[in-house]
Amino acid sequence: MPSEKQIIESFEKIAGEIPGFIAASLVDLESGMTLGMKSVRSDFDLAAASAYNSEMVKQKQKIMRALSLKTTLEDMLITLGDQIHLIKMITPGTFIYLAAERASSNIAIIRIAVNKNTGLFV
Amino acid sequence: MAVLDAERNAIVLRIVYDGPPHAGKTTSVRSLARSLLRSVETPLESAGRTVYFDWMEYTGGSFEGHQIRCQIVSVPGQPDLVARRRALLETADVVVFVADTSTATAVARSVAHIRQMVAIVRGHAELPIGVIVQANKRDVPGAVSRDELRAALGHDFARTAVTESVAEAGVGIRETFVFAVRIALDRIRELIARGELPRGRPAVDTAEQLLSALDAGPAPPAAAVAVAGAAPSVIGTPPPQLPDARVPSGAIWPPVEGRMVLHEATELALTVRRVGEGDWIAGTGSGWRVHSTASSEFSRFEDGRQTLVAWAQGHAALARLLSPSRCIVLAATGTGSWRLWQIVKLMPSLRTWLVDGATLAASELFDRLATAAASLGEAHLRCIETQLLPTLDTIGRGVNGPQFVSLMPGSLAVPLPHTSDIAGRVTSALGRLLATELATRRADLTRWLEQGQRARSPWDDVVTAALAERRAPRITEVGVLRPKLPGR
Repeated sequence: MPSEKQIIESFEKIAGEIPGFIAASLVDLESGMTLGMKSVRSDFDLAAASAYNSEMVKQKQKIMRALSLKTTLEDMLITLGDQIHLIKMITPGTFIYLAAERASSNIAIIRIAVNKNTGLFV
Repeated sequence: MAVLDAERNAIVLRIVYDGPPHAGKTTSVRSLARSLLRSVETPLESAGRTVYFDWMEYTGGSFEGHQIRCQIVSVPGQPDLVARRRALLETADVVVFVADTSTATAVARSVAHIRQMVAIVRGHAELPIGVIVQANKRDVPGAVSRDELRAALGHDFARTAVTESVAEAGVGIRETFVFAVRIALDRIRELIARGELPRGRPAVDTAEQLLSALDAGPAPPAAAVAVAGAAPSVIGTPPPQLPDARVPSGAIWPPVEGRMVLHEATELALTVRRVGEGDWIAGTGSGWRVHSTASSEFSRFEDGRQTLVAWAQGHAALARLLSPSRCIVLAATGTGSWRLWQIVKLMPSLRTWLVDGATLAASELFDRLATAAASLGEAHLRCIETQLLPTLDTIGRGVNGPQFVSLMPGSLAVPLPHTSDIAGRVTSALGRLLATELATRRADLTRWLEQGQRARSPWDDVVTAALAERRAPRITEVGVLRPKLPGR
C-alpha cells in the first residue's frame, strides 16, 4: 500500500495525462473512506462522491453474485451530460474513482491513463 | 460506544488513540487532521502534554447507506491521568495504539502500556474492541524492526494488526485511520446483527461535551447514549432496549409460547421508563406489563442465562397458579449488557372485578364479594410455601380457579411465612376495599344482609365480618376452608 503522499503524487501524474481532469481518489471499498485524493475543483465534494461510489461498487458486486457470475469487476464507466466518471478496481478492497470533463476528454484517454498507472496504487 | 444517529443518517463511532507518553498520539491525530483538512481541539495542554484529550471529528465514507461520523480522540499518556485514559478507552469502538518503536526500551514501555490498555477494553466490552498497533517513529535510525516488535508483543498479540508510521511526516497515518474505521465497522456490523447497536443522538457530540463529561466524574462519558425519546443525558443511564423478535434462542422461556407472547406484547411501540429504585417498566396502557428489576442487568450473556434458567424453574413449579400469556426474556440492552425482562398480559385482578361490580344490585354485589373472598382464600392455600403473595391485586379469577395475575417475584425471593389465619387476611382485604372503593355501597349491603334473605356460607361470614369491620371468629381455621376447595 503506497503512502498518502505517494497516492497524491500518482494522481498528479494522472491528472497531467487527462485533459479536463476534475478529481480522483483512492477509496477503501469497505468503508468508503478515501486513502488519498487530488482535486482541482473546490466545489467537487470528492469525499462524499467516493463514499457513494463505494456503495455503488458494492451493489454491483452484489448483483454479480446474485447472477452467479464467476468473474471479477474490473471497472465501471459512467457518462454524465458533461462529465465522465471512471471507477477502476485496484485490489479487491480498493478502487480509484476519477472524474473528468467530457468536453475535454474521452473514455479512451481516461482509461489508458488510469490503467497505465494502476501499479502505483498497489 | 457506536450509535446509529438515524436523524442525521450517520453511524457515529469513536476511534481512540492510546499509547505511552511521547509515543506520538497527539502528533498522529494532528497529522491525520492535516490530511483530512480538519482541525484538532485540545482542551488544555501543559508543557506540550495532553492533559485531557485531543478531539477531531471527521465525516466520510459510507456504511450500509449511512454516513460514517468518526470521533477521533487521543488519551493523555501520563500515568497520573490514568483515570481519564481509562474513561476514554472504555468508550472506544476501536483503539489505535501508537507504539514508540525508536528503541528497544521504548518498545518495552509500549508493550507494558498496551497490556494495560487491553485489560481495560477487554474488561469493559462483551464484544471485543479492535486494536491496531501503529508502530511509530519508523524513521529513527536503528528503530526496532517489525519482527522484533511482534516478538516483543508476544503470542497474545500475534493476530493484532501492525501498521508503520512516521507521524511527524504524516506517513502511514491515514492508512492506519482507514484501517481502524474498517475494524470498527466490523464490530458495528456484529452489533447490528445482535440488535445491540443503540439508536439516537450520541450523548457526547463535541469536545466541549466530552470535557464536561470527564470533569463530571470517573464514569465513562460516552458510554451513555441519548436514546431517541429519552431525556438527553451526558453520563446518565440510557433506557435499555426492550426485548423484541431478535432475542436469541435459549434466551426466552417458555421457548415457543414465550415467543408468541413476546411478539404480541411488543407489536405496539412501548415506551420504557425508570421507576422506583432503578427498575424499568414498559407497556403502560398497552394491556401488557413489561418489567425488569434494577438487579436484572448482566454484563455477560451467560450470567443472565443462568438467572433466566433459575427463574424459569420457578415459573414452571408454579405454573398451575400463574395466569397464562407470560414469559421471561433475556435481551440485549443496547449498551453491551443483558437484561432479564418479565412480560405478563394484564388480567383483571379481584379488586378490578369487584370495583367493576360497584353498581350491581346489593344481592349480586354480595355474591361477588363472597366469590372473591373464596378465590382469595383458595389462593392463600395454593400459595402456601411459595414466594407468591396473594392479595386482591395479585389474584384474579381463572378458568380453573384463582390465579396469580401479577409479576412473579425474582428467583431469589424467599417463600412467604405460612399463615393459618387465612380468613382473617381475606376479611382484612375486603374490609379495606369496602372502606375505600366500595364505601358507597356499604350501608346498602348491610341493609340487604339484615333482611336475612340469603343462605349463609363460611365465605358469607367473611364478607359480613368485613362489612362490620370486625374479624370473622368462626372460620379462621384452614381446616374449615379446605373441604370447600375443588379437587382437594
